[in-house]
Amino acid sequence: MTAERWREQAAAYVTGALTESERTAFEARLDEDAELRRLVATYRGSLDEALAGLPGRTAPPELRERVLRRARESDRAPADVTPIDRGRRGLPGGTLPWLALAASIVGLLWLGAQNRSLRSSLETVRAERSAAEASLAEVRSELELAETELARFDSLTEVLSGEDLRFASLTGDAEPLLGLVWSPSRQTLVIAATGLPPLGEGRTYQLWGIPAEGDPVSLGTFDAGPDGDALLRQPLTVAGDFQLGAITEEPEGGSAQPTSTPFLVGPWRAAQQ
Amino acid sequence: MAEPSIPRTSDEELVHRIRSGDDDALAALYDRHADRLFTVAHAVLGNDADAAEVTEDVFLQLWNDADAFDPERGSLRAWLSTMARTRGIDRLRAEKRRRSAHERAASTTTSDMAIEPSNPGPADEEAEMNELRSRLGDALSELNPDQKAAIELAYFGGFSQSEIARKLEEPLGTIKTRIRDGMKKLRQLYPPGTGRSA
Repeated sequence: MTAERWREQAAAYVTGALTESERTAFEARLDEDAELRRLVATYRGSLDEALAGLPGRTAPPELRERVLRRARESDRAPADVTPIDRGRRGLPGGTLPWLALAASIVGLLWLGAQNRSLRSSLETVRAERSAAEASLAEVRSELELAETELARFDSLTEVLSGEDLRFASLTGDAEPLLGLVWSPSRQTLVIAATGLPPLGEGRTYQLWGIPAEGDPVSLGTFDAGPDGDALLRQPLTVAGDFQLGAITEEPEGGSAQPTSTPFLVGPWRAAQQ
Repeated sequence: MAEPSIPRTSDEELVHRIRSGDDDALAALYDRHADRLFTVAHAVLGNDADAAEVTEDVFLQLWNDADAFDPERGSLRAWLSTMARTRGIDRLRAEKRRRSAHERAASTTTSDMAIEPSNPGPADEEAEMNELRSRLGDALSELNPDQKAAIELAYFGGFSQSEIARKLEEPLGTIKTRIRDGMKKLRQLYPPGTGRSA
């Protein structure tokens, strides 16, 4: 995913609108992208300020003491330490109990060391699991993307099942090439193009249906990708029996009539021809 | 002559002290942020008891895992509010699953008394959304209605973008754009360091 796509997800992440797999992949990306972390921080801050509009409520008074009591009782609370009295001679109660106590302390220290070692191993395993989950989330994210593309492809090929299809292959002196599939009954046009020349700013491609008599009829505008390729489906509600199809370069938004010479032209044919 | 004001200990400093086991620092942060967390939790859950439990859990999580706070990812208040929201959503989902399980169990007790398990119909969903809106007051009123609705459903309802698209019967791309544009607008209105509320 490009950096721009990650940034586009930041708003959804902060509002909690990502799926679980998307969120895991995004958080893995956050760990390595400082700019993304800054963006998340500003979104979070802005949302936090906006939440001041919520009807203000006061936490129950007894909640404070409950929180502090649980904190003090938890494992984290520092234990009280009783100072050792060094004023006596000899060990009170005899030597044996103190030896037993010393042995217990040694045992506890050993257990403590084992505990720390186990905790360290556990942290390592957790870190590995997090990394595996992040990889899995990335794969899931790519799978979702692939499924989206597949759904788009299915949507395009569905047009081909129409019975009143008309085709046009528009060609010029060399590349580019453009193929059109039009289903009047489904009011849908599929455009497949390759090698289209790059457009200047504020310019677009416009398709035309040219009847045997009369002026060209606009079949809509479209843009190609940075590599000059396009594969898209768009609604087309015009009716008409066109002899030729053509494409021109026009101002953004299209023109009522072509303002330049078509650089691709081709005849329309019915599917049975 | 006016008394010099005592500089307020920063949230970051208090979190640092919590890491050392200072429960006075926890108390100070509680006094500073509890009402906000309770308000956010209440907006998600709609009742005092659940909101109080969520607030308590968030502060205990802060106490037990203060290392998880990263100032690079936002302020402490924003982090705590996010935790309150997340825990509230988890609780909401768990409650819905329990209700569904009860309904399914009731529908399979006897065949001659079969009761269809209820899936939320459009009327129930509308009532749920109205109830949510009534809890939110003027929050997010700076946004246009479409952006506000999308972000409300995401943040306070716990719905993903796809789920929101289905609920509102809008294309997924439209919902993504509304959430993104809504958050951009909030970022313009409340740039870093605005600090308009306590």
